[in-house]
Amino acid sequence: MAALLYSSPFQSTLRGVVRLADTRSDAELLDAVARSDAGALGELAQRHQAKAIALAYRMLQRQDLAEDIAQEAFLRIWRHAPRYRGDARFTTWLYRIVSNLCLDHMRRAKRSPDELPEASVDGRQSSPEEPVETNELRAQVRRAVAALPERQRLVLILHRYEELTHAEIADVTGWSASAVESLLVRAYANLRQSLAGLA
Amino acid sequence: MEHVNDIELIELAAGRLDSTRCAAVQEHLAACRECRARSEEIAAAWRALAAWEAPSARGGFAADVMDAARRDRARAPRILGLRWRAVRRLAASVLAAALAGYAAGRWLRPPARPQHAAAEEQQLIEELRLYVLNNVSPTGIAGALLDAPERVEVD
Repeated sequence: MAALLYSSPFQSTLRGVVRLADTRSDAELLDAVARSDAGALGELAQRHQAKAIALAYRMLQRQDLAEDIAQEAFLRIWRHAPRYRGDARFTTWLYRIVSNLCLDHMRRAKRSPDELPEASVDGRQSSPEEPVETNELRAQVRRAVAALPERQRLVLILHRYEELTHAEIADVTGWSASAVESLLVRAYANLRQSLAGLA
Repeated sequence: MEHVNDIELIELAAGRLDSTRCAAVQEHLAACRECRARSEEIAAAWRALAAWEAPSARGGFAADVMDAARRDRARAPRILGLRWRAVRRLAASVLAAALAGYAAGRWLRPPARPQHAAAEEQQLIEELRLYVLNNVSPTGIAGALLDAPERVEVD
């Protein structure tokens, strides 16, 4: 029944009227994406957009860029789904694409100063409803994370915010588990200094 | 007494150490001031990081992704009405067939005769010429060529 509903040409209209819960797994949706089902891609985006945007946002510290990177990541999934071997979880693949796009962007930004982060486009920079201390703490954390070298930053974000294990981070980045642990230790050593006295 | 390494202290702060290892580390921390200080610093950094929340995704993101995907598919380059992927497959098939043909041609071609065999042959021809010149009768020549398996000694 579900297959009939989601393969129906009226699926978009139907979903527009009533939001149907798609019970298909990520792997099944990816299979449908490989057969050019844009609705399945939309469902994957709906499920995982928060992860993709959060990772890109914390790497680049710009919400507008984060959304662009996340959208580009889903487009790459759209283009390459037919060749996806399925030997890793969908989220691992998504994180890998987002990480690579962020690292590419950061390297380009180093060469071109125009692409450096701008506080004005970051929606989470400060909030008037929150106490000054909270805003100040958030700003300090942002600066501390931004000051980390890019590989340490990526590993820290995947570990602290995306809650990935060392092995999962190694899968995402393609680095060895021992390299991941070493980067994590160095990242926390740097943060211990820059965030000393906070929290 | 062996100190606890940083990676375990990070996992302790994250609450991701298994219960057995967690108990052992806690026992060590109770007795070791140096490790306890490091552990507290790491835990403080861990807590501070929680202050930085990511913005929630805006509504309509998934719909935008679907639209972008459809536009991307519509923009996919076509050659003679074929999609780019089909063109690439076709080109790869043609290339594979050409390579297979080339390899088969090389494999089936008889090997070049070694140079010393050609020299021996030339020498034999020279010897036969001498033989022909020394024999006046044409029948004798034919007989020599057809019948004589052994080399005929030339006077």
